[in-house]
Amino acid sequence: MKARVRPGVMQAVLGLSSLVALLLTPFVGMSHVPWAALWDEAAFPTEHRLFWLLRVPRVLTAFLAGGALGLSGMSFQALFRNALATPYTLGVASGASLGVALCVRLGIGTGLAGASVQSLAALAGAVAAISLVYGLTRLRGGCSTATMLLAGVAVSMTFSSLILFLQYVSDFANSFRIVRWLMGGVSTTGYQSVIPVAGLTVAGGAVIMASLRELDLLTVGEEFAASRGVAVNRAKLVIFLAVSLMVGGVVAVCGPIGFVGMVCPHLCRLLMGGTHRALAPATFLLGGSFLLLCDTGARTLVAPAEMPVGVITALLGGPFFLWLLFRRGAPDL
Amino acid sequence: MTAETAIRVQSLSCRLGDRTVLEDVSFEVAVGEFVSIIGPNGAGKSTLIKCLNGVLRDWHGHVELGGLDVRLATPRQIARRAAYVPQFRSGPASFRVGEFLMLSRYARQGPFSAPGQADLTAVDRALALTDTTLLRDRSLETLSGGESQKVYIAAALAQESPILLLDEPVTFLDPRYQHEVNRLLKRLNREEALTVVSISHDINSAVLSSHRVLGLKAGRVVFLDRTEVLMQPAQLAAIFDTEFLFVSHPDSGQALVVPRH
Repeated sequence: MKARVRPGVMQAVLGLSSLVALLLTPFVGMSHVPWAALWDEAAFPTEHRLFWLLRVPRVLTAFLAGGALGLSGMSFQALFRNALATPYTLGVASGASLGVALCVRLGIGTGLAGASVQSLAALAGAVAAISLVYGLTRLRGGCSTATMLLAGVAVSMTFSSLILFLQYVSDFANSFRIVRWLMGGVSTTGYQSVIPVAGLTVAGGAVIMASLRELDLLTVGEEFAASRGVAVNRAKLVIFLAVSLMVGGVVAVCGPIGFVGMVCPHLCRLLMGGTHRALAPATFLLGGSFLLLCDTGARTLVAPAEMPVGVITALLGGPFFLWLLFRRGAPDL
Repeated sequence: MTAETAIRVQSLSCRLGDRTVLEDVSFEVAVGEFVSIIGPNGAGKSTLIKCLNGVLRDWHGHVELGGLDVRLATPRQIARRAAYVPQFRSGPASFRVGEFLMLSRYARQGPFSAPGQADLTAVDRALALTDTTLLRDRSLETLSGGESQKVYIAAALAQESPILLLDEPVTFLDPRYQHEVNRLLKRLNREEALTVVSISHDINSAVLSSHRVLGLKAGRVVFLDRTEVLMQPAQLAAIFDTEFLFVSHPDSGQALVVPRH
């Protein structure tokens, strides 16, 4: 019988490591930040601002984004009863990417002020994709996951092809900007990006936390869930919207960072198993600390340059799949 | 009609796609009755059960569970009246048996409430009734077919609903488990006063446990009467379009039905 890590142990370990990571990573970086710089702005003006206006918001954004992606992946894996589902399965990321690609191609949104215009465009694209997927599902009739999946794939592929086209008709610089954005990165400055990510993560996360039992029952099967008293169509819609909110917010600020939303929930499920009551907080913490550590690596490994964090998560993703393939024990994909 | 009616169905019709699966089905099940539903494949038996418990919503007619109009009720209300044991046990769920049973307490819990004493007691009792207490910490995917079926019945019992709806509970089981499950269902009906509606392909065991039998053919009710009335060559042939022989069990003398080849 597969041994399970007890939820209490898992959450304690993850909680502790998240706390440690959150407290320590702001100190990690190219410039050394002495202790006194935290409060003594007069003596250490640059380090003070570096710490509070650059490092801390970035650490918070990375943690929240990772947690949101983890929760989203977990929810979709339950909804689609597939351990390979990702937060981007229903096309949200492709919508955001198209928004940004359009923005870049049309020349709006370069420079500092441009960063927020880009985020708005990403959010608009995400909303467009969500509405399209929802609309297509309702148009087809019913609310089956198979229909939602097909609609998501259709929207995803259409938008991706449009992005390719935009890259083709863009000049070298713009095309590069689009590609870089698509890699995903957490290079944010100030708190203006933390707030929307935090807000959407809390909102979406709260809805997911209220739907944990529905997620459990949906994992067994939709007819089974319906017979137990779950209003299945409504539950699926609520989960879909909550995930879209969270993923939309993350992608608008950080781009489509891959693998976090698939690897972390999958790992938690493998290690812990059990119901979502224990899985959800663990997945959030693992996602958050995982992305936080990847991002810390992103800004230190090739210092003074900076790698997009999506590159690191992608580099870790491949070996993870290899490990899944060859590990001892029954494959329960 | 009276408070003693557990299930009341009037003119139930159901179309799936462009096929009429059920047509003008009407019957009543009294509280504490055991009714077996028999009929050829494709007769609409599974569809009928799914219309009763609210899994399917696309039908015409009138269905009442203990006075509750299914069409107007919420899924939770329906789940408190009737518990369902499906035909196919799917899902990559890696739940433990105990956790799995707790999931069936959904209809009696609020969104944020942790499992209470009532829930724990219901789960314990369900495990005891089905003799699966030793399986509590086993993972669902490690269970054999027979164990899994008993666990699914236990899950339905954990719901503490007065009506039990089962879709071919013994079809995929070996003879020993078939016998165990049949005996369990009869005991639940006679001793725990559960109203049982069970789809079965095994006419002989259906006859042993049931008070009445409902015969469904091509979406219509072709038989609805006490078990003794069913055990006649003409009746069975009409339902299954097959000739049957009646033999006597060498030990018990019970009348057995065997298809004539």
